[in-house]
Amino acid sequence: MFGPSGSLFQKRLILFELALGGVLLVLFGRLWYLQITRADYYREKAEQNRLRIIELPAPRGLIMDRQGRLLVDNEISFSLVLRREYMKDHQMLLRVLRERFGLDPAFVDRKLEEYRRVPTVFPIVLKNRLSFAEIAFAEAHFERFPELTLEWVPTRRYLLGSMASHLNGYVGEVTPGELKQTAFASRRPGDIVGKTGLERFYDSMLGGDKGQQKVFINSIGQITQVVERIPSSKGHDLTLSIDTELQRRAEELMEGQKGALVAMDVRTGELYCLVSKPEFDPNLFVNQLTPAQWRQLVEDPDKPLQNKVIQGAFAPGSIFKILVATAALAEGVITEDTQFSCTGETMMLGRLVHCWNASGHGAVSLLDAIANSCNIYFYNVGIRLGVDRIHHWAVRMGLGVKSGVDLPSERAGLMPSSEWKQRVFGQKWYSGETISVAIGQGAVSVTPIQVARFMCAVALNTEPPVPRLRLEPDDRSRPDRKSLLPAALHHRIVQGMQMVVDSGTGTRARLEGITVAGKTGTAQLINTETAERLKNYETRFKENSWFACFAPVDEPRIAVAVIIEHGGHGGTAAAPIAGEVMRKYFELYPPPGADRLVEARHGQ
Amino acid sequence: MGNKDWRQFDKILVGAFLMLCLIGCVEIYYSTQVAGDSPYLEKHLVRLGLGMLLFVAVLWVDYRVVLNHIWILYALSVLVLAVVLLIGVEIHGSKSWLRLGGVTFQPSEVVKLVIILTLAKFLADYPERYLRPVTLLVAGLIMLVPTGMIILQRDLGTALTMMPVFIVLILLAGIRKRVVALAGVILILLLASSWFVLRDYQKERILVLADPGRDPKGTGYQTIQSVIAIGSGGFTGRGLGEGSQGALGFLPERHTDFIYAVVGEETGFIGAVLVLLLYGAIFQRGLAIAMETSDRMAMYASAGIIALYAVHLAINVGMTLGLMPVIGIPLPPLSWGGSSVVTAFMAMGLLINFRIHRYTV
Repeated sequence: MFGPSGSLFQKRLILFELALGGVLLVLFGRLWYLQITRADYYREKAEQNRLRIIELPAPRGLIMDRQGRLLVDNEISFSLVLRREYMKDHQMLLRVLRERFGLDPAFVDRKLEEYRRVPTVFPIVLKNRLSFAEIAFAEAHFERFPELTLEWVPTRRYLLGSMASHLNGYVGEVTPGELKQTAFASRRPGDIVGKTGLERFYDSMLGGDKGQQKVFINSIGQITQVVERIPSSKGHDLTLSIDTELQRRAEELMEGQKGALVAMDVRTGELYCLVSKPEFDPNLFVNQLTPAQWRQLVEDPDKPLQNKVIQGAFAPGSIFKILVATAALAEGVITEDTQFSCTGETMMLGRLVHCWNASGHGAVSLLDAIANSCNIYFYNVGIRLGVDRIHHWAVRMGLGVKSGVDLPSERAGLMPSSEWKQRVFGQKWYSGETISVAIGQGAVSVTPIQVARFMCAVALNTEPPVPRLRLEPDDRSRPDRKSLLPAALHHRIVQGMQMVVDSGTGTRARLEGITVAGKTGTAQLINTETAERLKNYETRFKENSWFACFAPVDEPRIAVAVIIEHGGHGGTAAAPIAGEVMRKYFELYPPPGADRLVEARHGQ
Repeated sequence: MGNKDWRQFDKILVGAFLMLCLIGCVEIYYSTQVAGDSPYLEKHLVRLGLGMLLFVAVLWVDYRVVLNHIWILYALSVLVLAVVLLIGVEIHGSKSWLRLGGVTFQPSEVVKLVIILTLAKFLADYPERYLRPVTLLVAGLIMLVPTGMIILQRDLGTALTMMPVFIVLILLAGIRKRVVALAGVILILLLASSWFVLRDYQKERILVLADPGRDPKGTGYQTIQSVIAIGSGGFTGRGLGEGSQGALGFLPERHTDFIYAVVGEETGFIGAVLVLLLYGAIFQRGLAIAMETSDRMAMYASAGIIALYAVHLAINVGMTLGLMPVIGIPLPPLSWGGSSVVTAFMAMGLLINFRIHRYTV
């Protein structure tokens, strides 16, 4: 074949063949190792590769009023979601988000920074409630931007708009800070949680349980198969004691004002309406608030985000006189017949003090003092009582303490005492300071809900009920509370308050056919001398106008507290609004045998 | 001339080759499903058809006619490579493609065959007991000129396959031990210095071999995904179209350079070993042709062709099994890629050609 060297080539070719056999053997060995020895390990690796757990958001529970009318529901919308594991070109992404979704690159970067420590499997929600154009764009460009995906999300819809906004609160994405709080312990990054109001207070109840879906995905994140699906369960619905019609009427009456209004059931503490002005639109929060919008809300001097009903602490002014009267009668420092003389001004404990009526009320009895709101009378009573007994009774009747209403971030206000002064200022309490406390000025500050609650206490002659927004079954047994005052003395106070409405400072709250007991309050923000110096002083120093009342007198059902900031006299600004709210209430829930009322209204 | 002994037509060789083609078609079909309806399989079938036509064409002409004029083809090859360098099209970072009409092809694939044939002719023309240095130098130049041009096209993978082929042919021709030793030293020096020549991504590929976790989304990612694919196939495989790695697209280049991983995943150890056995059969038959021929030219050529495909197999399969760095070379005839498939058909045609013209002079 090859001549002399033929066998040499044969030998070399055989060596070559053996070498090739060696190569094949190495490959065979490796295959054996991978596919026989380690097959299970790699099978699992492959499974992990394609298995994803997708959380299914739970729709939040609905919120309804006491008549079953919807206040808050959910709508299904698309959200734009960023999956960081598929992110490639950062600049390109920022550009497309700006041009197509109107998202500020700074906002996107801030989000990314916020999530830096969160595992990348958690998607970031960039924008809610996408428009059709945005949805279409994201759908069409899935291949180019696999990191941008769409997610069906149930989003909150506040049907009343800005109405009852403080009550409902709003929802938003849970912040890393909130995740550390126990209330949000079970939450995960990206979850939507209640931020304020009822949404916050009942978050765990409204929130529901998220479901999850185990799916196989392909390399570009598209779902190829659903392996397991645990559906989410919707949150529990919340029925409120609020009556939407009454709420709407109250909001109308408060329109354009700054202040707060609250109406509650005297016996059960159920809240019928709750208004804080100015208001905000919670729907703004559902569609990511822009930084400018947020700044505007936060920096507004009128504090639209604050729920003044539970967070606004104001001096109660003359309304506090009812408390001082009750305490004095209960402590026996006066009787119903005790009289003091009012000359318009007088020296007390070395201070010249005034009554609002410069010409004086003459000899004043308890009844007159309440009906005419005589300052001099209550200065005397206050000094007899002392600050600590005032404090004791105020707290018992719900002033200067949290009401315990089912809303977050309630403020306690302040009810001074000698202990408080010692603790905070390290000083003794001076009797002279009691003078201003006795007429609800000085350090005293209360929230409107406390005032409403106080009205319940006055109406019932017991400690007041805890205000509730969540409507509970009516069979809840209410503890029989001890009377605060003997019936006769109690009657005298109520009589005085009825005179306020019938013929005194609060006549604008009068109702046809229904007896109303109330008290006006005109709380100074600066003292009288200063006010006189500042002729035509600015509105922001004008007195706060209060009115608090309950009705009907014989069988009390509703208590109302209204404050109009810088409204001037309580009888002028606040009383008519309280009257209208009660009128609406009795229209909606007429007292037994109240046909008279309706006829009277028709006859007008 | 022109007398053919059809009884010598090697059915095992051609049968094994066609089996590989078939396996390639099946896996190309299943691994491109993820991208939706794609023309991959159809295109591949067209190329197989073209390959078969060329296979027959190659059979028809006595190889000696071709080999005696091989220098013309060699010159032509160098010219074409020069043209590619000037007006070539860049695909996947390699400027090694020519576009004629709507068709792009990679001349370097066919050029590899021409280099082998040229070397075969040259070595057969200088039958020495041991290669003289001058002969060795000329043989080296024959290989290096076109290979260097391929390197310039940034197609290192294709160029790299020529090195082992050259070494096989030289060793076959006979070489003194001290020359082997000298060459060994030079080779080591070359390899060491190549570290400074290699581009960063090429170095990265070598480093990643040592530690695939080094860059799980980059070069190492491919190796990891490929090893997972093959390992998860187990003994019997996950079924055609059922392999999550390939069918879901986690494996990059799954229908081209990493097709063996899809075979391993979907048909398991059985399928993967079958592919090795089919290549083994081709190698065995090819080397039998080398041994049985009386013509040294044919002997060198068939050994060179087998060496070429053995290199493809070792590098490509080694890469998918995580034994070799990620070097972008296909696995003909399984891989999707026109030029390499067509070239493989021509190579097989040559092997059969050597055999059926064995006894005819």
